[in-house]
Amino acid sequence: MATDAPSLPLGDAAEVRPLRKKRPRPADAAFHAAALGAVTITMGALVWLLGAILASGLGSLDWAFITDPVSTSAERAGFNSALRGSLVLMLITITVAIPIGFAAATYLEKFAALSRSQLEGNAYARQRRLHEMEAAGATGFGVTLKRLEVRASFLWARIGPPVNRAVEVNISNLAAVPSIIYGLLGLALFVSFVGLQKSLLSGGLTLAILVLPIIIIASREAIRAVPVSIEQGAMALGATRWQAVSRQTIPAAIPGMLTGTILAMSRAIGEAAPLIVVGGVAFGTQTPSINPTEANDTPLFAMPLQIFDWADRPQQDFLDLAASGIIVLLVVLVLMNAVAIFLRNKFSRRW
Amino acid sequence: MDTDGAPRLARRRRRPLEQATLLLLGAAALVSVLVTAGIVITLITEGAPFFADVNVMDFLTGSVWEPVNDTYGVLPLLSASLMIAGIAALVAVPLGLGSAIYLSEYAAEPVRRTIKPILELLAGMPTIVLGFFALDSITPALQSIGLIDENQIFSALSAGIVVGLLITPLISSLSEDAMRAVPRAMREGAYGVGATKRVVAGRIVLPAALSGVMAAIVLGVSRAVGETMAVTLAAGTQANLSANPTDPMQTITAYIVAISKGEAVRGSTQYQSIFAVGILLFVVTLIINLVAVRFVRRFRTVYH
Amino acid sequence: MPDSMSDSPTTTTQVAAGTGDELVTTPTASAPKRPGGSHGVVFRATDLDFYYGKARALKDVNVEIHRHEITALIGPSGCGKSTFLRCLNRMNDLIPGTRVDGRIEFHDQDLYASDIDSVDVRRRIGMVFQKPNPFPKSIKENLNFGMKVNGIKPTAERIEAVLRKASLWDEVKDKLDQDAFALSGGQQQRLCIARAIAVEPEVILMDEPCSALDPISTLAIEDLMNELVTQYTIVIVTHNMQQAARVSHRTAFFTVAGMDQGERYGVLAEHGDTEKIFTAPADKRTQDYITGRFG
Ligand SMILES: Nc1ncnc2c1ncn2[C@@H]1O[C@H](COP(=O)(O)OP(=O)(O)OP(=O)(O)O)[C@@H](O)[C@H]1O
Ligand SMILES: [Mg+2]
Repeated sequence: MATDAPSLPLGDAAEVRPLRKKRPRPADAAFHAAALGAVTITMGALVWLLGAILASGLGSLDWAFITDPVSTSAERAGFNSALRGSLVLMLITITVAIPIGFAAATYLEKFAALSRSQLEGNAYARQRRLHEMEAAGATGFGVTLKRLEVRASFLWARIGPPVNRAVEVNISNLAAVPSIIYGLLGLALFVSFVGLQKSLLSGGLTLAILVLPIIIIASREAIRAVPVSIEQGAMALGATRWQAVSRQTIPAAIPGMLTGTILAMSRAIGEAAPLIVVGGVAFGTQTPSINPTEANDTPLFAMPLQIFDWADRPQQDFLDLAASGIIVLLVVLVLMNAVAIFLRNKFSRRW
Repeated sequence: MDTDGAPRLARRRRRPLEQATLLLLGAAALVSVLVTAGIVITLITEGAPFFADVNVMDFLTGSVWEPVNDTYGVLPLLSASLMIAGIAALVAVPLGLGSAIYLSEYAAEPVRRTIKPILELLAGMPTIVLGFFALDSITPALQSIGLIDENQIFSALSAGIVVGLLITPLISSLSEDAMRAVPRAMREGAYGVGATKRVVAGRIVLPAALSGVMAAIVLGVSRAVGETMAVTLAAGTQANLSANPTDPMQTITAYIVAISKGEAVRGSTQYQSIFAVGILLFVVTLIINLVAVRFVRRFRTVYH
Repeated sequence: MPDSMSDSPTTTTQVAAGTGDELVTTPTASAPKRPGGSHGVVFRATDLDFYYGKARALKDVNVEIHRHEITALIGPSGCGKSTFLRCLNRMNDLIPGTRVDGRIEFHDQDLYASDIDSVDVRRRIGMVFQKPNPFPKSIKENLNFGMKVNGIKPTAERIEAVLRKASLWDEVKDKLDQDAFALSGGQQQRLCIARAIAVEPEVILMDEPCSALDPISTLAIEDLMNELVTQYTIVIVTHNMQQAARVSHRTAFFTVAGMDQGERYGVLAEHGDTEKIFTAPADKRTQDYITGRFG
């Protein structure tokens, strides 16, 4: 105990010192200033960026810019082809990515989480039923099928959980793969292998693959936010697991899933790199068709591609056109985000 | 109901439709695995023929990249990618960390709630926009302070700065999450022995959140290495092995874009070369991401 | 435990004897004797009101806290004990939107005067929290931290001295470089006490320091408080009546009021010698509260 402690002046002194007055702490002030400075510089850069775009782009931004097709002359060049292209791209991307993304999210969040022992339990139940069938003297195709089912479910009990975990790790890794790699995938898969044109179709499919992991991750979060008690309530009324999930949990999660999807689409609509790899930079003066069934015969026009094409030219006129295009792209992005925020606020619920 | 009086429980029914639906859902989840497999397989099958023509060691160690002369030494591209990512990190780590510290330790709640989404605007900006910003504003600014030559358009520095701006919000947002996850009790313990805000932020919060912060930085760097449009527009398309950040340079991604813009016929060495450098890019970013995952995992276990 | 604490409070002394810890329980006739020395007033709260944003949490608190004494703050949950305690070292300054009305004096100086350095206040008035909150560092670094930020040289002797004072030395002397999270809850809490005394405070504020601990660790900390009070002034919040009766010299009883106006804030119902509060409470609410626990 404290008896043999070295005697040090611990504890209060006999006389009372007055409280210290506030004093400048230069190191603390500098630290605070540095942190504030970092925020200010970053925000300042954003303001500078927006200002620069407005300054160069507002001049050539008028209604004709929206309605005119692309042209080799900076005077007459418009953004219409790019807008049409992006519209078709988004339609294709949504059509492909939503069903796969939502289905994958539902499976991973609601059905993949079974542990090995649970899966083994299911397998033993199936085996019992097989034995019952055999004991009842059943023969033929039904029994063979059942036998296969039993084997498969024992196998799944062993490999299912690690497979599910690998799928999860894989999805988060995919979300961090550079977008240009998706372009290489699209080029090799859709153009070289399947034989599609370098077209809006192959571009849209590539973007669909690109946003798939983002949609899955966001949708899983939305599904997770719905309390399990809702599902249990439904099952207590005699619904099967699938009925409970599909009629109660998923509908409750849909606004969140859509919000995530819109945010993923706003990533897709600004992507240029994978599209360039898949389809090059389209030129020519034709107006691309907005009929999705003709997408494979329509060259790959898109807003970010058009902006890149213009910004890549040395003439100042084209750089200004690029800025006008950026303004339009940013307006579209703002609208998409507004819809996402609206959805979230309108339907978000505190459980 | 049964007819012979006593109610009996129904026997288990098969529900084939439900089983089929579940199988479909599982198949959708497998698509993501197929995507990964697809990336690996296509990169290899399309890129492998390249290494029939070009020796792997020459590719990896060669310092001249001149596809027109069939000289494929990848170091100029790789070093450009890494240099721009390095410049971006030099810009983004102080800005992002400083912002994170400000938001988590100093800013009042309403201020934080206003600033955070504004910063995230920058993260959601299409990268082509940042490329434009580099050409339109950053490069002229660098010219006017004499860092680069009057009539020089492309430079790694300009590209690195805008990529840095791009990843700043990513770093600040993830770091701030990590710092806010540090329990308040830990901060109060430090304040209770007379620490100032700077000491609490620098010696308690930052170390406790360190693996989360590191993960944020590593993810930011990975993003910078794979970044394409801003570096294509701002750094140029001239492969150049140089240690001078004010020189024009071509990154791996910019090379892929340059070839894709033209007509590279399938089967040509140029076509194969974009897959070959794609393999390199994929491996480099994969390694960086795996490092980030390690940090994240460490962060998750810190308080248990 | 005896059914009427007020008649025979018990002090329990822990004797650390070699390997096994024996507990020796000595019934005593009254609350702990006051140690010698001057009994000047350390804190004087006058008409203290406290607000979290618009919500009032304390109203009209008037109380004095004396030197070299243990003052216990008791009362029902949510009555503002922690809030009051945290006013004493300006810890509440760190919560945005809080406001102090009225006056708190520390040795006759206005603690909340605009020119007072709140960092220095917290250094001189140390705090131990309800849940042990060591830093995620080694035991040694936990102690060094406070000393370093206060410009005290963290020598090995000093580390040993504070750990001995906190009755932790024997348990940790061989693992000073180990992670503090590896200690048991009771050890962590004693480390937090050691951390607090390492910076030479004059007062130690303790907010339910034993609520996360088992009875044995609780007794160890009570013994420690009895020892520390010869050099420090201690204010402790506790829900444990026996603990208040065992260790404290004075007791302040807080309760909730304002419900009839649709408000809910804490007031000080009664304060005075612990013995008197527990044997002959003047306030009906105190009586109900105490007998409600023991009757
Ligand atoms: N940070 C805060 N922000 C807003 N209100 C708070 C905050 N901390 C406490 N309060 C409120 O102030 C009142 C007093 O709380 P306090 O924590 O001081 O009570 P307590 O007496 O310590 O209770 P307990 O015995 O449960 O610890 C409560 O109504 C509480 O809800
Ligand atoms: Mg409390």
